[in-house]
Amino acid sequence: MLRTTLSISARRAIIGATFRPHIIARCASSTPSYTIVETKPEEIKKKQYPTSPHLTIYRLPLPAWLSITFRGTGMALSAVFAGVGIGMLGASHELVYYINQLQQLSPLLPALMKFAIAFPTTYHFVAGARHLMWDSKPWQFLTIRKAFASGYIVMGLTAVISIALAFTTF
Amino acid sequence: MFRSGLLAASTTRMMTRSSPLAGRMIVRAASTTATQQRQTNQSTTSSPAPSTIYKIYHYSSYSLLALMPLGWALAPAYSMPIDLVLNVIIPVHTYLGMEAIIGDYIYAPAARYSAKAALAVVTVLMTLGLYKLNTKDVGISQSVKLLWKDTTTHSARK
Repeated sequence: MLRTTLSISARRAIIGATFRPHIIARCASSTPSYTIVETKPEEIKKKQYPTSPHLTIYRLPLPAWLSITFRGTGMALSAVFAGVGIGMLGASHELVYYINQLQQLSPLLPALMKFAIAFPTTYHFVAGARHLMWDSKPWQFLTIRKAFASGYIVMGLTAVISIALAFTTF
Repeated sequence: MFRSGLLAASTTRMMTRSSPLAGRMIVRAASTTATQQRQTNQSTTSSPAPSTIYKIYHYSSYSLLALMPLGWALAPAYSMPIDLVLNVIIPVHTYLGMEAIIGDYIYAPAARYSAKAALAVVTVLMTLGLYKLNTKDVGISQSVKLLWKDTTTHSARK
């Protein structure tokens, strides 16, 4: 239905909505007076109504993708640190022995392992710095245009640093 | 500077579009300084005071932001105190972060309770394992650097 009823310019506008802040900024209104209320998970009754589909329908803007990637890299780093920590509890050799054994399996593995560790770490680091910036002065840093601009900076910095780290040895 | 442009553009667009609200739109001052905006927001919103656990999480994030690059730079010669501090802060940050994720996605009390219990067990074991890495092995910062070390020509402990 989407393909037959929309013009080509409307379709381009929708596709660009992920990366264009002004499409969201037009919907922003003034800040009314409100109180923050939080529903505790304990208060949610057992009988839950189904939620209408949203992630399968709407295109998410860039800060939303960066947010879920931030959460995913956090989970991945937790898994890596937990895996290494718990693995080393019962290990009979040192960590360098296991790393060498893994890297000898294939000539591609050293660069791949370096990227697999460097990318989540640098992304979580840079995006975490962005979060802490928001926490310190939300009235100044947490606007829609600045969220997009800082999001682009996060993507660029992460790409440069993690790809550079993937191909260096010292 | 950004906010004045945003506000002026949006109110102008809303004014010129023929909508039922166009005649009733109240034109606000086009530019608000950062101080004025902060005072406005602080007078109209009320949020609960941060709890101790939230402050611990907040300061653990700042500490990790400072200590991870510092540990990378100082390893392996001078990184022992940093590695011991990281030994505590990384599990704390992991536990509090994963607890937030579990609380966001798992609602049933039985599943949530068992997930948090498993998380606590994993966190304690992780702390012990990282402590063994710090004392019997090269340390957390140097362990991260081992992937980048050419161990055929350099020693792992340099």
